[in-house]
Amino acid sequence: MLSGFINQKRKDRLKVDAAARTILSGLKEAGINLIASLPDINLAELLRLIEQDRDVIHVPLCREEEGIGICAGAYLVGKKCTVVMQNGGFFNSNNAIVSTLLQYQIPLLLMIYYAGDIGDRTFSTSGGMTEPVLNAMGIRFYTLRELAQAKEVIQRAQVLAEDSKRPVALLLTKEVLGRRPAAGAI
Amino acid sequence: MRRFDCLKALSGEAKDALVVSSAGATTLEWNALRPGDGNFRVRTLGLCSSIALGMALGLPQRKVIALDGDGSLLMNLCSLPTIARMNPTNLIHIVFDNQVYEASGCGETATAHGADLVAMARAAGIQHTLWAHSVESFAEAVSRALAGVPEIALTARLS
Repeated sequence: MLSGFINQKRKDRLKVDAAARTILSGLKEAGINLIASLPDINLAELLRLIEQDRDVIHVPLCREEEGIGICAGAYLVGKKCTVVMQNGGFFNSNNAIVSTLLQYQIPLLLMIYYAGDIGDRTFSTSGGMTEPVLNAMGIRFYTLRELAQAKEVIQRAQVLAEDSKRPVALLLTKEVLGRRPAAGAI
Repeated sequence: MRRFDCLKALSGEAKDALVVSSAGATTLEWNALRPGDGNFRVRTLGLCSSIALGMALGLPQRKVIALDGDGSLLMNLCSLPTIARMNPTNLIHIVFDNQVYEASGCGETATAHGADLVAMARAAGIQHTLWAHSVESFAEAVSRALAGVPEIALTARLS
């Protein structure tokens, strides 16, 4: 029974590593070369890879709203950017998204960990508000649940952001990040 | 010390530097002194320093100047440790501290009650920080910064 538990843990680990590698290479293939971020435990492996990557500028943030400003400034001088954050950080960023990104028609890919998603035992209030707020702001979004689709969806989302000159959000679930939902946990 | 005199001194030195200016009259004064495509007007209070940091990171061979205000910086103090951490060598962060929310009816900011922005910048890890107490010392610090002193927070207390 213990070995079964250890094997499961190892499988989970491999899934998390594969997800982080796939998502980062998807971002790079989409042309992203500056990534601002603030950690969530579900994003930890992805952020570790981003920090180690020499092809992208990684800007670790203190608050997500400053990341919107940093990415807006970098876009204006030719960079392709994304902010990797939790949905709480998206809520933190709303004023900057409205009065900088939407005001000046600046495209930006928002990679948002979907805390409070179905099957999650925490942050159900944040989860419940995420899609309504995105809709209210007119931000088109896609919920990523299959890692096999991640690369293509990231590239398409970046194309949409550039073509519409607006932010576009990808909601990153536990399924796609390789972390099992907490169903059954205390 | 008047802001316009500081900006006049800066306009003589800025050359092709990109300039990001905070919401309010600073933008109007700067655009009158140095009109052009290299100026960006910030609409989100607080975001001036962050937008300038993004430009500085994206275009490391070009000088970037943030024309920030006390009310604006107080809203985004966490940009200071992020600037310090990224340590750009081409960013000059100027804060005109008039101790009021000038564009919003002139209510007092926290700097009118003892908050010290230079001390905060230093404590955040920014290595080159100073107060300018006269137009001359402002102009001197600006030309030093443009000549190559890295990441600098320069705060001018206005009367």
